[in-house]
Amino acid sequence: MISNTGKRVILTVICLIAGTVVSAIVAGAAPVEKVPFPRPDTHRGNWVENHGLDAQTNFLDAGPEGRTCLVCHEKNDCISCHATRPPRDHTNYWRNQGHGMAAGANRERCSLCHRQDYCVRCHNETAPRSHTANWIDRHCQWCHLEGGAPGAPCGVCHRRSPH
Amino acid sequence: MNKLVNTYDRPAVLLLAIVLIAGMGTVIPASFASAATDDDSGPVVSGYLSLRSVVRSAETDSQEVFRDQDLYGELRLDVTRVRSGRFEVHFLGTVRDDLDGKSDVSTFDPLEDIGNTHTSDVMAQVYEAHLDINDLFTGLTQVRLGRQDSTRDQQVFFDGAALDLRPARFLSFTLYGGAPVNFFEVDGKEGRDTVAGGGIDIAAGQSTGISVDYLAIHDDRTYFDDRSLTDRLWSFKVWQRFSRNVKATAKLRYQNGESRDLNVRLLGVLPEQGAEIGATYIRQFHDQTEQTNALSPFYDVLGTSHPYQSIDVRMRKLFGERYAVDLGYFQRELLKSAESGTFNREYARASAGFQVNGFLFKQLSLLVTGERWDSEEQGFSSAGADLTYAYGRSGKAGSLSFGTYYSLFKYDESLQEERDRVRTYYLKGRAALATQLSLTAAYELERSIDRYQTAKLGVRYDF
Repeated sequence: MISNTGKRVILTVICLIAGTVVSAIVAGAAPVEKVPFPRPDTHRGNWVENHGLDAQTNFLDAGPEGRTCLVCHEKNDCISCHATRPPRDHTNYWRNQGHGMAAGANRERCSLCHRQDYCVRCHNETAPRSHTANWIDRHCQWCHLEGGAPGAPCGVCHRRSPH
Repeated sequence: MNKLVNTYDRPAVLLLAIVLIAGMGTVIPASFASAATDDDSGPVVSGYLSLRSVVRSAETDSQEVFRDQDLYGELRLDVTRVRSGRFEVHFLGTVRDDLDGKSDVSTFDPLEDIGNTHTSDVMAQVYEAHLDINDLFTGLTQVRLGRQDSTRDQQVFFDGAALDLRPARFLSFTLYGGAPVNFFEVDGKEGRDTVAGGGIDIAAGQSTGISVDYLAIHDDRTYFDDRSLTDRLWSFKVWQRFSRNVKATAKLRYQNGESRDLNVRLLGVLPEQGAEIGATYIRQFHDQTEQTNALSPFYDVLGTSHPYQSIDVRMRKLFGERYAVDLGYFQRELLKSAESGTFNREYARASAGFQVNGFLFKQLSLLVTGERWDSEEQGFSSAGADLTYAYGRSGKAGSLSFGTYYSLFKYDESLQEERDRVRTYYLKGRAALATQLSLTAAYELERSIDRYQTAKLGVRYDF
């Protein structure tokens, strides 16, 4: 069942796509060549996962001298990717369970894209795998005797003990 | 469960605003593109508009089936060279609509994510929307007004103003301030949060530079304890170029009168050998606890971050035009190993990647990756392979990729052993429908504790 908001958005999107197709065709054949030369050799291999050091040394930390990245990239290319393209290890399992292990190991990596409010919001407003069926009755042993699920202590979501 | 009240509903007006701007974005470029071609002083509009429909399903080990359908939109707009470079406009916004509108957050749903934490089905984020005025006066190189991201030492999104000044060739300043933007704050009320900062860059010749940054953030925390926090961060950076291809940076940060961390980086490039070597050393000096949202080490969910040091070494080597190898090693140590715990771990990580261009035939490329890290009680291993066929000039006409990714999570080996395996297979393609219009489609199957299937279909218009 699609909500009214959904229907409205679908309709808008259909119009947008139609408009986009028409304007793209009307705009003509000239392709947009933002960078008039091939990508550099450094961008080969597993560059997507390894570009951080180059970027931080040549751009972010180097003051006005080191703006190498800006020869081809816009300043907001970084945000554009870091805000919308999760890395390959961010699977469904990662979202539901695996990410805790990684966060415990290297918070620096998380902070490249996320801020604290992201964690707090999800942990306060979604329920973990254990919270199904008669959880209320089962939680005593889980919390007090077994110490919670591996890598997911109760305190991650529950700031204060309710009793 | 201590569920907190969510009053953070992004009005649908935001969505409509983005859609309207997007509509303009599809029309403006056509007229401006020709102007830019005929006359270099004309405005140049670039960016993209993408729309993507995502359908997901999950089947749990108890045979329960969940389904979800979402719509994603992104608009990136960069308008430059307006009035011969005096003005620029930059915009980046995303919108997501939960089409099926099902989001019962009181019980576990394997498909639930951050997009389901709003009472509204529509979630819109504007990451950047600013007007830049260049060279307003001599020495005032740029004024930025609107929502922006600080490009200085620490990333902070804020609504406000920033000034770049360059009174001399060797000297530049940046001043900025406004209201910080926290995209996912629980109650959606940023209160009277403020941010103010500034930085100075001094270039001592061609090989050395010094930067000093100051950042003050005030964060009204209304969702836990109504307590407000203020952090003041000083950052001192030095960069040195030892030769044309060898460069080092060192950054020391003080927060609230106490040393926070040291970050040293070294990058060496050997173009004739097709090699690059880099190393990063990080040391956190003291316990980091409750802080403002932009600076916090995720204290609210992970607790105190104990002092540690880490070294990260990476190397890449190109073998001709066809082969590329990446190797990496990372080690993290707590300064007091007795403080090791669930969210403060010591571990070592090794990673490798290998790419072959022209694998079997010219347009085919193969990328194989692997990583492994181990700590005292936990471990993670992964392996992945991607085979991509790209066609057209420089692969711009389209591509077809098939890949797989495997990961193994090991928990608490000595106490309560658990091994979770995740296998992912994907097939994705991109085809250019017109010179600036492309169609993307993808299917993904993930097998872990649950069985997930994801189908994506999208269009993207680059202008």
